[in-house]
Amino acid sequence: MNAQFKKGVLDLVVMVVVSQHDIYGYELVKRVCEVVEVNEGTIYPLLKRMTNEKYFETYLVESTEGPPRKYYRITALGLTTMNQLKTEWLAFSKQLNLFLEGGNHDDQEGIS
Amino acid sequence: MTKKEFLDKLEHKLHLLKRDEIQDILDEYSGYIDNKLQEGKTEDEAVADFGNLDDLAREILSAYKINEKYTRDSSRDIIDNVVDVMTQGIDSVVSYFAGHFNTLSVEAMIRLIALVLIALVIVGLMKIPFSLLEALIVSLLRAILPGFLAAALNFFVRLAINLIYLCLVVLLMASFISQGLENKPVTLRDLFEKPLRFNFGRRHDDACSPQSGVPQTVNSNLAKTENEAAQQRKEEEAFAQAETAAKTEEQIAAEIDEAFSQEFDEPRILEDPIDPLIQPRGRYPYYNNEEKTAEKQGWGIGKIAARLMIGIVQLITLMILIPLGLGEFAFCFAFGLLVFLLFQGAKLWGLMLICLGLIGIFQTAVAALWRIVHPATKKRPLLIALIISVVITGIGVPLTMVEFSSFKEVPIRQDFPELFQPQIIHLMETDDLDRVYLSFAFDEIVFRENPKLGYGSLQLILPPGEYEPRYNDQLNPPNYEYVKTVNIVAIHGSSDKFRTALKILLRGMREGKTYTMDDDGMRSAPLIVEASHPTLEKLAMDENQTLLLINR
Repeated sequence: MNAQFKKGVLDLVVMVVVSQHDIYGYELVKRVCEVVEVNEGTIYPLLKRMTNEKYFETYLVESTEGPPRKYYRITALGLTTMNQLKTEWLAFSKQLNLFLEGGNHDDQEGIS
Repeated sequence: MTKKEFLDKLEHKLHLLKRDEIQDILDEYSGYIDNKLQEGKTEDEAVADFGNLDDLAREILSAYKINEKYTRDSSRDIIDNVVDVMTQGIDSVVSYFAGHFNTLSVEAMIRLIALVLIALVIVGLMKIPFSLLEALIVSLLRAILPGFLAAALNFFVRLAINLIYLCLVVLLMASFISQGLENKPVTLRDLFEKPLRFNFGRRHDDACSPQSGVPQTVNSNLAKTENEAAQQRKEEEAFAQAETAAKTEEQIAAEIDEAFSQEFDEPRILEDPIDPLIQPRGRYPYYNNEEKTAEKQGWGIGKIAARLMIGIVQLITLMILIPLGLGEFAFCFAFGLLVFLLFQGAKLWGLMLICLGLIGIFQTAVAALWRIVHPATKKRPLLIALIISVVITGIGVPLTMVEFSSFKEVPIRQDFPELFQPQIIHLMETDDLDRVYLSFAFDEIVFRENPKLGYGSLQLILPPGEYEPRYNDQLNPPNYEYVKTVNIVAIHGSSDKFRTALKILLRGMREGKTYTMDDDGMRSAPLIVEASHPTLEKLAMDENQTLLLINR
């Protein structure tokens, strides 16, 4: 997929995944990669940034398999931002789809 | 790269962050890797999935809102970049030639030979400025440094200059040969620009894309890189053609393209943290930052050679660093001495400022050089320190001149009369002695006897101190043919001398005086001879008052 597309939606995808349920880093990476194929190294900085921007908060949970895991939970601010992004995306993609399907038609109209 | 290597490198690159933040990040990534290991991947694969380490570190730092400009340890970068550039240069040369010599026509061969000959001439000409530089530095070092130090340093300077020359020669030759191999008209611009651009191999940035899984080492793809590159170029061309075709046929496509680039392009190319990580997969013009991504993980010939050269440079730096460090130490010592003088009442503010400034300058130089030797050193604002030091020195120099010019010249005898106290020598007469000459300088007694007239047994009672006899037959005055000379020289205790000198210096500084020696005063320390009366009657001074004659 086009890298530019990915970039545009990655924030949104991560937010949606976290908003579904609290999640720890690696699991999140896997979930995100199911939707958008990205380099795994990319996700952590993203999480960090969004945590710093107060979209997420973190807490530690003891793990049976190793060191405690850091879970991410979405905040109210994060939810608001996510919904806003989602709305924007849906509107945008709808508009774009319309545009792509009716492109030739519009052209003809423009000429006539 | 193993997990540990990866984490170590990452830690190093994040050194600007707080300790616990770094630990947090490292834990997170270590957790990712562990999870992947559980899924049956190897450490290499798990680490390779993260892509380029530099980009990753930049991502993380940008998430902390640290501007990359400030985060970069510049010396580390210099070395990294030098290694990268050299690595790419050397490796791509190797792969390039490996790919080209197989398909060489006779014509191309002749052209190649001609080019090599031209290159040789240029190389010869290039040697001249280098020889001049070398001779200049060597003679300069000889002039300012003591012999053994100059010899050692000269060796390194020669080595460094010749290495640089060698590198240039290799690059130039490589450039000429590569031009000779290509089936294009040769232009001068190409010939000389090429070595600077290091693009023999034209690697595509896919080389270390995360998709490729295992990091590709230089050695493994030496031979195929060229083919790959050629293929990539074709693909790119095809891609571009397709794009233009699409544009002419469907305006919409172009418009969408435009809409996208307008929306995403501007704020994104460098600032957005996500981009550089995704970009190796895309094949878009703005992502062609080859130097950044290509061949970071390899350990080819190039990298080894580059490391070696950097090691040599570091060694030379260390050699320069040692005298600088000693200089700094000396000035610290001098500063301590000046503080001592301050307590003694000598106020030499100008000299103190100069010392302080020079300590600062030396320290800056040492710190700057140390960064080359040990790049992990944390960066401190050296420039400000240097400017402050220079300003301090600048103020100190005229201040010192003013201070010293206000010193009065005073004859030393005036303040230290005790140095010119008369020496008393006791003479006791004995029977056999005919003639005794005693000549006195400030610290010298000459004792002469005339053997023709019988050996004397004059007994000298000298002032307390150590004396040594000094025989000197050659300086016999012409009038006394048979005079045998025995010089008895007083050995002043050196501690005494030092103490006296220090006393004079301190007093001079305290009172703002410079002492002058009056030669007369030194020479004419009066001699008082005490002897028994019959001897005294026979004593007579010569006209210079330096010879004492005892007449029978």
